[in-house]
Parts: sequence; C-alpha cells; structure tokens
Amino acid sequence: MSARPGAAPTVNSRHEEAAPTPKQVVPDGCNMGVVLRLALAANAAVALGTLASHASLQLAWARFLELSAILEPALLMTLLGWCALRRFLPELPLPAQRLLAWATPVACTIATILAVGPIGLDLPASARLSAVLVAFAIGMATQHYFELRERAFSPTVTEARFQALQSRIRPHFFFNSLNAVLAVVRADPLRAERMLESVAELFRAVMGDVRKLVPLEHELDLCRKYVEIEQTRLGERLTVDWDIGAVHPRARVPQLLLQPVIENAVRYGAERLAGDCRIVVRVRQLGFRLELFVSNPVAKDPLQREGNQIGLANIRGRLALIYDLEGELTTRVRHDRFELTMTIPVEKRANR
Amino acid sequence: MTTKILIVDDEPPARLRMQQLLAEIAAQFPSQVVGAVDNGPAALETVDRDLPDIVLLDISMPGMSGIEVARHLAARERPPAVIFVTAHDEHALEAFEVQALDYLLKPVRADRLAAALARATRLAPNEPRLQDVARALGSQRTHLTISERGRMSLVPVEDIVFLRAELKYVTIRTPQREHLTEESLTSLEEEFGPRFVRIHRNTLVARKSIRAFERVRGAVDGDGEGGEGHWEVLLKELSDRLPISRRQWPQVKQTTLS
Repeated sequence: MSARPGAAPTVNSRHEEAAPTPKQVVPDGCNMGVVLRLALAANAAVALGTLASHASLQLAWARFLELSAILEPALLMTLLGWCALRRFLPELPLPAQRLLAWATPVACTIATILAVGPIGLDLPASARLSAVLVAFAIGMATQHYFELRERAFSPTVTEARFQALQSRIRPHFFFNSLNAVLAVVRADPLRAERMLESVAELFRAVMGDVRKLVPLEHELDLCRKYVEIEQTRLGERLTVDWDIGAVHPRARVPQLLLQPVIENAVRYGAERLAGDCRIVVRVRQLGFRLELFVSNPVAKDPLQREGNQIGLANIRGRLALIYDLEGELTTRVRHDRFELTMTIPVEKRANR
Repeated sequence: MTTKILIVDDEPPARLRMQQLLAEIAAQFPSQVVGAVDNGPAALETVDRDLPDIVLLDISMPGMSGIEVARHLAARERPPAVIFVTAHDEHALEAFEVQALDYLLKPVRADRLAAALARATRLAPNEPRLQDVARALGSQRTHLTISERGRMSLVPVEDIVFLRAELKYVTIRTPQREHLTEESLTSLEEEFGPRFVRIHRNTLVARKSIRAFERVRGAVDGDGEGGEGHWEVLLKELSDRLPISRRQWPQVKQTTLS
C-alpha cells in the first residue's frame, strides 16, 4: 500500500472545483507551525525596524527590548484571538473574517500598551502609534500570507496532493494474498473466509480518504488484520510484538498512518531478508503527543540495506500535509534494526 | 514418463497451491514433485541431488532471488528447465519479455501451468540472457557458483576477501580457502561495484577486509616499476599482503579513506 510514483490515479480521480476558495481565512493561532512562523516573522520585523531607525546598535537593542514588552504579550494574545475566531466563528463571511483577523493584533497591541503604561513603560505618543501601525501591518501581512498559503494548499491543490499521496494496494502484496487465500480455501475454508474479509477491510481503508482521522483502535485493528494476512503468507518467520501503552480512549490518527509503516517493515525485514523477522510496534502517549514506533531487522551488511526509506516518502508527505510542523518522523539504524518513530499531536476530533 | 518437478517459493501457501494445481492437472500432465523448498541454496542442493526436470521458481525470495537461482542453475552441466513464477514485478516482467523468458503470474491458473509445463523443454536457463535480466534489474548475486571436481558449490559474496586474476582463472580468496572461477575480473567488478576496490590491474579487494596500508621500500611492484617503493594492503582476515599498483594508489586512497 505504499506509494508508487507515476501510477495514474485513474480510479479515484474526482470532479474538481475550478476556483479554490478556503472556508476560513483567519490564521490558525493554535497550530504550532503558525505560532512559530509568526513569532519569528514578527520579532524579525520589529528588530529590523529598530535597527533601521537607530544609529547605534546599542540604542537599537535597548529599544527592541522595550518594544518586546509590548510585542510578545500582543503576539500571544493575537494568536489566542485568532485561535478563538477560528473555533467559535467559523461560519462568518470571508470579508468579516479578514477584518476581524486584522483587527485582532491592533486591539491586542492597544490593550498591551494600556496595560504596560501604568507599570512605568512610558512610550511617547508617536511610538505608540507606530507600534499599533506595525501591529496592523504584521497582522495583515500574516493573514494574507496564510490565506494565500491556504489557497495554494486547498482544496483543489491539496486534493491533488492527497490524491498523489493516496495509499495504494501494492500489487505484489495483493496478488500474493489472493494466492495464499486460494491455497487454503479447500483445506481451511474458515481461514480463507477470514482472510478475504481482512483483505476487503484493507481495501476499504485504502480507498477511503487518507485525511480521515479514525480512532487509534481502528487503525491498530486494521494493522493486526494486515499482519494476520502476512503471517499466513510468510508463515512462522514473521512475528510482531505489539506494545500498546495507555492512550487517551478517544485519540484519533489519520487512517492508514501506521499500516504502511508496518508494511514497509515487512517488506524490508521479511521479504528481503532470509530468516526470522521480528517486528516491534509500540504506541504510547507522551503528554499531548502520540508516539508510534516500528522497528524491523535490516541486513548486517550496509551495502544490502538500500531501499528501506522508499515507502516512507508518502507517509512523510501526508504528515506534512495534515500536521504541518507538528508531525514528526525520524528513522535510524541501530543494532542491525531499522527504527522508525512518528510523533503526532493527540487529536480527539474526527476532522482537522 | 512422469516429469520430476521442484517447487521453490518462500511462502508456504504458495508452495501448497502449486502442489494442488499439479495434482489437478495430473491427468493431462503426470508429474512427481521431488521437493518444495523455501530458499535458493536449498533449491540448488535439491536440484543436484534429485535431478528434477523442471523447476517452478518464485522470483522474489529473501536472500537469493529466483533470478540468481536460475543463474546458478545455468552453470550446471544439464540444467533443469526453469519456469519463473511471480505475483507482480513490472520491472522483472519487462526484462523477461525482452529476453523471451517464460513466466507464470500468481495466482497461477491450472491451464496456464499445464501449458507452461508442456513447453518447458525449451526453457533451459540461459546465463547470458539471465545476466542481461539481472543487469536490467540492477540485481547482484549473493553467491558465486564454483565447480570443483564436477561438484557445484556456492561461495557467499560477503565472505570474499579478495579476487585475483591469474592466467586463465580468477582466484577467489575467502578466510578459509581458495576457489577458482572462469568469470572475468572485470565483470565481477562491474556486478559488485562498491563492495570491492581495484588495487591492481589483477586484484580486487573487499573494502570491509582492508585493515591498513603499508609502505614498502625499494621493492618492485607488479607493474615492473621499482626504486621508490610501493604501498601494500594489509588484510583483516588473512596475512597475505597485496601490492597496490602505483596507478591505482591515488584512487584507492581516495575511495577507501573517504
């Protein structure tokens, strides 16, 4: 079910809208990627501004520190405000959303200036005005940037990208499983039935929307069914250790996030390597993040280790599209085992 | 006369299925299954012991691939016919079409199997064609076939410490012993590329076996040059010292030290 670049998505190409218009144009203040980008951009803009308007570096630095007392609280409040706007007023018409998005940093800056006034930070009137203007400019630029970004990513474009990243049944797996079912159908009809049911379920998942967030338990169930098919096919060589820790009961993950990783492990650990193959799957919750870990044996000889990463480009792409900077995927080889770790935020809603 | 058949597939249900199919077509094509094995080396052993007429050979197997098994079979004096079996492998199939090699697709159908067996006499493995397929797929052998006193044996490529071209043969040196092969040093270098370093026009050394380089003063190296001395490779597994020719030295130094 790994991605095969170049395979034509003929089966599931859909009618696509001509003009992409996002439903929400307020930047998502709760998204780590937005938070980081805005914090960097705003601080950089103010730093450059003070540098340009002061003769000496020292003066500029002193001024920047002063302004930070306004900038940082205003920044945080703006992010919270945007986050709230998105959550609580998602249905507003787009122009209203834009206006509110621009007004938020202005309001937050004014509020901050009023709040810090009494504690001795006395800015001249001109500086206050310019702070408000800068806040307006940064707010507008940010909103504009994220709206453009949203347009670039959605829905037609995102759709196309997700289409490209849509999981596919790997023909090799598909035909081999059918072959295995045919082999047991006479001797063990019950088992054959169970296998076909599992194959059908995998198909349903693969043909579904890869953006869909499903309960973690569903994804794990699908993985277990997949492993069962592989164990019929490969025999006793393949064993899987499941180590599923305590996870929030309503935690959700993108459908087919873990299964392709396990498939990759089977492919490189069992299909390419002779001998027994033990795959370890570990899932646990660390604070607000979910950690998914899969490891498989690799060849002792580094020259024979090529290829383990090929199936992962697809998963990386999907993580980036769904979670932006909040999803993480790292791999390493340790003690002749290939180890993959994904961490994603714990989601409890069905859509992101 | 019943035809003796060997089934090679790493997946147990696939072997079972093949046996079922052979039983099904027994009336049309009487056959006797001499073995059903799950890996390449076992297949070669069974071929030498039980002399099957036809080998039904899965292509994608861990370790030694079906294509490699066929290449080793091609070195036999009277190789059995080979029918490749595969679930799906676009690249392999393309290469097979080009080389006109026969294959069956999984899930295999009884009538197709019967037809393939019927024309199997034409399917003796052919080393040059298989080599072309292997090259097209960029696949390397894991073993070399060695024939000694009429017996075939396998030498794992990862055991090889160095290869040295002599007059007519190439000597294969492993930590345990020496073997001879008729394959050329150039084609071996081409196939196994980065695993070996050419240190001399007649020597390839396994990169992982190089322990150190040592400068030897005043000796004469293999190129007939002398005087200023030359460099030698010291090995991890053996006490042999292998001279590096002056022409190869810069390259050896660059590729092994980087």
